Amino acid sequence: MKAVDVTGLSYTYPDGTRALRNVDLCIEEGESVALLGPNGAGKSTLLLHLNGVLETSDRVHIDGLPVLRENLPEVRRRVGLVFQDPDDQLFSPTVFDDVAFGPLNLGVPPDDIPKRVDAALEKVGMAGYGGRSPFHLSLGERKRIALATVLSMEPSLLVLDEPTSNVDPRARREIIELLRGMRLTKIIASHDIDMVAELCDRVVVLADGRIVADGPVDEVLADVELLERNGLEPPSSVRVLSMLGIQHPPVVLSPGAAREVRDQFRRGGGSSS
Amino acid sequence: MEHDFLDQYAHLSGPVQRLHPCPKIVLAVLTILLVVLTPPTNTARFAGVGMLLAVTLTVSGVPAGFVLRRSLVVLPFVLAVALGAPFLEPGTDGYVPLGAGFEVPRAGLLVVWNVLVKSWLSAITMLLMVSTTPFPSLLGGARSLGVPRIMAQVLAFMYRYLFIIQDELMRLVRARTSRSIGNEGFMWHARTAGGLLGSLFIRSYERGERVYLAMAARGYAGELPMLERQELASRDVAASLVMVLVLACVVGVTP
Repeated sequence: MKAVDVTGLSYTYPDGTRALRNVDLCIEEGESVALLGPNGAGKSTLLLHLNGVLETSDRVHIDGLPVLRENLPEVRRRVGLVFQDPDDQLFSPTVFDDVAFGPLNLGVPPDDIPKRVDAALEKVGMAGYGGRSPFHLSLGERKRIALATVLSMEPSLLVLDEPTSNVDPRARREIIELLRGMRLTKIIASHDIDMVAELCDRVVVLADGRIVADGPVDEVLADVELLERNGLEPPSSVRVLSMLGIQHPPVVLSPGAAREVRDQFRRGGGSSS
Repeated sequence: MEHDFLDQYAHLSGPVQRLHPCPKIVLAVLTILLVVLTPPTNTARFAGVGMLLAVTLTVSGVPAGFVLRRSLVVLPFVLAVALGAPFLEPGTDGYVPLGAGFEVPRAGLLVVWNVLVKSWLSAITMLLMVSTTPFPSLLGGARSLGVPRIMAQVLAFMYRYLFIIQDELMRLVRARTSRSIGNEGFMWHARTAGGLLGSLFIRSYERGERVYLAMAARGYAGELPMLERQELASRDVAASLVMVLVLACVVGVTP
């Protein structure tokens, strides 16, 4: 079953900005896909189409279901969309109310709500924060709570807009490990190329409303020329190693990958040309 | 940035904090009605209510300074009204000499006293209620007492976003200040303040749009679901009846 199936999707904002031009995208269940592209490339617009918030369109299918008005409740349950700024997402006086908001809209019986909320908060490592006001929490904590507000709807697809932006390295690490542990289909729009390298197995590059590259993470992120042509940068490890003439530089420097690079040097594979 | 929250002591676990918000709102309104309807000459009753509030404050564990400092906020407004009053009343009850040949009408002084004591006691009552009840519970209580849903929602959004917008304004002002040299005149301030407010308005408007999108993404269809958080217990009813009785006693001993 295809988790996401987008065919020939175009979108123009009311002010005339053409944000998407004939986008085709197919994502299988369980995949973890990164959406890269410079600001204004159409990443957010594409994400907003996945649950019909911007407009409904039968060019988008979620789990085989067209994103049309009559399917909206089911589509919104399946697609957990987490916005970049948690202050946009967390609008209730308490954390509990916000995590309960989605399930209540879905018509989950009030008696089952506390269980759902506790489970969602537990999953993001924020158990016991239900009574707190979002305003008193750190940005990293608020980002995790924002994630919990869609997990409580028990989605099958997690769509994240810049999950690691603006947070400090420790909070970033916590979010990465949290996402790594979630066995859901994931779409992550981000500029954090190292996070993408760690978390995703496939990368889609969007530029000027079009998909210009779509492939396995270690191919796309190692293609320095492609990335730079589209206003992006490869991971710094890729940049350094390709300067040193290493073929197929690893996109994540795990201990194993580092040993391989060392061996390639010993065999004389690296050249200073 | 840390903000002074009205309800920063609301999560202490005292008997005042534990009382259900519904009877708490009713009791506060009753107390204010009692204060407002007391004739200004009945100082004993004002003292009685004051003592009652002092005892409640002590039991609640909220620092007295916290409530007293905030109660002073009403003073400028009240004084603006009250200070003019002595000169409007005709001196039929005679005059009180102020020394140096000045005097004010007695009836006018009574008006000043009347406005001052009533607004101050009412302010303390409200502050006591607000600072011992978490804001969300207060909203829940107000909802179940029949406050329209739309009002409760507007207040809830205000509570959530007021400080965020305040932070945003602070950042805008900082960015402006860091590009100025400090000797700009009034006109410069006036002109740039207009720009600041305009951009703050647009930012808030756009945030409102994003908040709505995020709500719609989670299935919002125009109804904010609200959960009943706290059931009214027999303990709450008993405590409230006792308080009403105490208020009645205050009235009884100060005819």
